[in-house]
Amino acid sequence: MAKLVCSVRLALVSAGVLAVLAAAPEAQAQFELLGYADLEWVATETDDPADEWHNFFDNHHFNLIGVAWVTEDLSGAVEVEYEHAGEEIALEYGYLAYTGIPHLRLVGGKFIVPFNRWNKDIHPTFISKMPDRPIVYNNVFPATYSDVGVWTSGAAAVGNGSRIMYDAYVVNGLKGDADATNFRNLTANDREQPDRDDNKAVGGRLGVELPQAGFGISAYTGDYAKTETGDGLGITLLGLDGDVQWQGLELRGEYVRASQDLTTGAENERSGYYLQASYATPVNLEPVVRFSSVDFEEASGDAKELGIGVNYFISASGTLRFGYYFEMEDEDQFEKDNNKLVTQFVIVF
Amino acid sequence: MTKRNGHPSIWVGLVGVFILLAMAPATWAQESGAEMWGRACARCHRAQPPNKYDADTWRAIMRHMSLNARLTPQEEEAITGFLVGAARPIAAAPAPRPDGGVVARVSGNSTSGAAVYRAQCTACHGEEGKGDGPAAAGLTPRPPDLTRMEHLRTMSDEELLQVLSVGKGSMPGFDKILTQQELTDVVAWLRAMDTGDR
Repeated sequence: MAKLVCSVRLALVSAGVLAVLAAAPEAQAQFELLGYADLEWVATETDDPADEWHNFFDNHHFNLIGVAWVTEDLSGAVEVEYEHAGEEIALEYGYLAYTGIPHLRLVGGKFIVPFNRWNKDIHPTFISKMPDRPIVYNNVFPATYSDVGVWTSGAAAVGNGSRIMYDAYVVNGLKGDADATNFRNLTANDREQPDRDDNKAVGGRLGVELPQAGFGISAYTGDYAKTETGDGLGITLLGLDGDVQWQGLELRGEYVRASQDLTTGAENERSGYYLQASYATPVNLEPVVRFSSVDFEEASGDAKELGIGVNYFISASGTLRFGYYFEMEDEDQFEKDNNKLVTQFVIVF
Repeated sequence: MTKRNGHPSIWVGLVGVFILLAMAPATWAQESGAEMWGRACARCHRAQPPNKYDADTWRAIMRHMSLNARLTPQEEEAITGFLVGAARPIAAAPAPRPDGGVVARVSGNSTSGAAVYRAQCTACHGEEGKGDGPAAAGLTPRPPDLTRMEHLRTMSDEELLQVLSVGKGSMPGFDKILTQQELTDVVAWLRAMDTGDR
């Protein structure tokens, strides 16, 4: 019965979206092609005494972004990922948006899930302050998680340069094997079974932005798999994010906590965070320092990472980044030599 | 292992948030589009110079970015208006002025110019003209410190007016955003800022 009610509710929402799209006034359609690309040289330490440093070039991203303005209130966007020199080609997002209702913008399609700020807003290499993502977004939240469903968002001014904003969405949800340990694998597309657990995931973010600071809370919950008896196995994610900005100085931090149902009936808990400071100097150089940590409540895999970097702004569109990462796994043991150096040249066009 | 997405509190919460947003005033701050651009866009990424793209491209980008940045409808309209007005002309040469290229000589009012400067220029040049506005950190080259620009003194009012009108480097032309009188008022304000006569 509950499943029927849920299906009817989704059908009504879908019908409403289609109705407003059909009623949208015609306008002169536009389509613009944008994008970003980067080239990296990566050197990583290894445990092999004969080959202590392994290094390689990587054409990490050559992503094309198409933005379309279809009618006065109807628009769309698509990002085609062309990553690792073509080894990975995928659709990061592709959506239609109806923006005719103030404070209730509707998006349908595949979109990046708005959880904290890193996943949706600041992960692209032309925005990110360092060449690689914080480890919390490898091991606790699967960046860059995008999914198919419906997303609504809105914002309102609440003071001079201040506003509150919300995001709410219903998506197919993370999906994978029962008791999966690698959350990154839960984001894969599955054409045969787009929502294999047959249970939609819901989530959202509520944020406040002041002229020089901002913070938000995020939540996501949904099943990722089923047990052999058909019971749902869920994942619940909670997040906090905040930033302070003043005269080129930026302090930013995010926290994620994940609870995962296991077939044993127990819950697997993991959490992590990152703290980052950067300062854009008047001479186009931006030093950055970032500390990231993940903590698995029971299983092994705890890790810490200290990254230091510097960005050189060649132009408004081009940046040269250097990042060195000190990796500390399993309770601060430095013996495992897996530090890495990443040099990255990124352009946005 | 319970089904989660049917919990009524989520839907009640969403409806509550929407009602709060709908009750919020349509606009609160009296910020200009330029000020909103400097504040909202530089919040997440380096602000791209307004004259990097043409007007059509900015319109399309703003549809996408207003969603990503969760702009209010007022912010989207104001920022789009600023970027479209300051966009790179589609033709290589600046459009001919309605007055046939003759720069009208009107006397500027530095007091009025201060207000125009605050609304249109502080996002990059900062309140005091020192090149430290909220968007400045992401611009390359950085906006100059207007209080230390010796060559401003060697430029005539007409030359300054021309730079403000058609732009220079990363600075867009403002001839589609400001009136001739407003541009001239800004010239008067820049002169007053240089002499300390404010």
